[in-house]
Amino acid sequence: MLTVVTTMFATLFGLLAGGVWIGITLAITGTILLALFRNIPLDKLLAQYTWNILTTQELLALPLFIVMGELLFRTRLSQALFTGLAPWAGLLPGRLLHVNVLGCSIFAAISGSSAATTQVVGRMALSELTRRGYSKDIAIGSLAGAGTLGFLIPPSNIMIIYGVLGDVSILKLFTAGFIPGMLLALSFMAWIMIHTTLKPALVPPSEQALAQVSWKDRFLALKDLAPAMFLIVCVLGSMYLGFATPSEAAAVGVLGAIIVTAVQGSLTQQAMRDVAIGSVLTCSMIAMILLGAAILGNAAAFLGIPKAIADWVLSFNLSPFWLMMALIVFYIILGCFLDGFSMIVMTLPIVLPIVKGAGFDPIWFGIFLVLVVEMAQITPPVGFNLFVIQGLTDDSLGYIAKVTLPYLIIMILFTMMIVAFPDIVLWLPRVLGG
Amino acid sequence: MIHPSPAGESLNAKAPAPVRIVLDALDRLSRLDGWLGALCLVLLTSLMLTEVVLRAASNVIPWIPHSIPVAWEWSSYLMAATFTFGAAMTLRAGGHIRVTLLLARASPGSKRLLELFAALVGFVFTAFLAYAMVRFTMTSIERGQTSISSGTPLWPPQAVVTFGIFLLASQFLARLLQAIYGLPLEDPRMRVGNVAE
Repeated sequence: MLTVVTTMFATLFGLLAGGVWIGITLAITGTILLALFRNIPLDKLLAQYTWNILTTQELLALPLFIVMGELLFRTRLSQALFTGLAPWAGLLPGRLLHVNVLGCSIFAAISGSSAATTQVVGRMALSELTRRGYSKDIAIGSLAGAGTLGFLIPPSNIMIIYGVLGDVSILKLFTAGFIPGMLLALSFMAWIMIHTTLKPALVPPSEQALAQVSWKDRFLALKDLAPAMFLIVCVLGSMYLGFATPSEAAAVGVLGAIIVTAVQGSLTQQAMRDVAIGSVLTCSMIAMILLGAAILGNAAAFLGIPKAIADWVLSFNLSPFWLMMALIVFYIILGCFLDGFSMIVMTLPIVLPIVKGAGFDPIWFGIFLVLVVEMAQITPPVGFNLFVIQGLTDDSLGYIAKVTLPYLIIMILFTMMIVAFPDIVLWLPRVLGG
Repeated sequence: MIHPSPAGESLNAKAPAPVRIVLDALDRLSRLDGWLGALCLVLLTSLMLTEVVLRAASNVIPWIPHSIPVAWEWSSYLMAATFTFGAAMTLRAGGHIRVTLLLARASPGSKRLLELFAALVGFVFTAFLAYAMVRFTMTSIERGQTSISSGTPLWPPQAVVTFGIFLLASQFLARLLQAIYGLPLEDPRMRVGNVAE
């Protein structure tokens, strides 16, 4: 078994370091393992794995949510979110900085992607906040932190991938994400309030006026949130009122997004071409690593690798708490070099049996993974959300990562909290049953 | 925002004539199959939507069928087609994820070697996968395999996926040639302002 595991890691690291695409690396590693250690018709197995993963019906939600994200990316939703939320955020210490968190939370309930969430909310909020004289550090940091909510608050592309690979109900995962998502958003807002109260210079004094906006104007501003609310009803409403499965809800979401885009007059021919090609690019990118993961995962399971490693890890008799602490450290390090999707698909075949063996609920672990993936999105040198913000502001990656650090720490503490109190995650899916 | 349209200069201009013709053809092919992928995506979205609308409508109007029995199954075939057709274009556009830690720091000479190695490895694997899919589909035809839920013959969607993998393998071959001749490996013009992930 030692030879098998050594071969696996050597091939993986060798190819990855050599710059071979992640999906191809995973697939080749799986193929080499089968070729070396099992005498079986290799091509038959490989084709069967490929066919099975690419036609997995639970996966259908993924391309649909991607199309929806690409559509919304081209709407004027970012302005609408800003103008709708600003008069309300003005009530809190920290003022419009809260638009970042609130806007990301709302958009996260429409979109399954954290990069899209960061992009759509940041496009309007960042320039507006710096124009009004807010500290750039805190404007960028809070956006980077809150943008990661895209994966935690349902719908979530990461949860779809986890559900498919880990054979866990996607709807239950979505449900489990709600409370942690809202608590994390509240933690970010609490930090903004503490930070700006300690250092009042972060918020320009002229912004005090925002607290004096009349209540009538505040309620009038809410109409700007109508398109976002309409989309939330399309996606989450259809799912939780029992009309639709996650995939069908995603289809309703696409229709809703088309309607919003058309009403805003953004549905040009050019936009439609961009949506089509952009969606295909993103779909294929994810499908490639998913295919690799399926081949390696199946091959590893066939050879008994996950069980062997799980037995080895469990033989240390780590307490569940320390096992999770070790995993947090492991994933934070991994997250510096890999993006979220690659990280999950590469480690899941090995880590899930360990975690299940230690007695954790796979639904709970899904949320844990989403949290560590969110951290991966904001840790340099490889962090998609940092890249997105860099695209918006042209600042250096190091600077963006530095101002994001407090939010990363909040996320680490929050993850430790769900380890200590798993019911934060598991209570809602239990109550809703199903 | 730039479009994956055939307009613009060929990136393969520096290659010797016969190679250039092949490479240009492969470029055009990968653009075309990107659009085929998009078409599949549109079809699958429509199919799923029709399913939802029918279900909602049948609650109100009794004679409307409750659902399309094959909607899910056929959508999953369309999804597989989208995934594989888009793969070649994504490769050419530089959209597939890789760890660039070493690549970004390598000297031009070793960078070229690494790119050659990566393209070769990618080609060998996808070519083998294409071969495996051909045999898989042939077996399916010989045995007349059909899906369990609806009795749909499996070979047509399998042949489509096989073709998609074949296109990906040929794009890897193109990349190998481009690496050998020192041509640009990726065509950023194929990208749109999309949101990765």
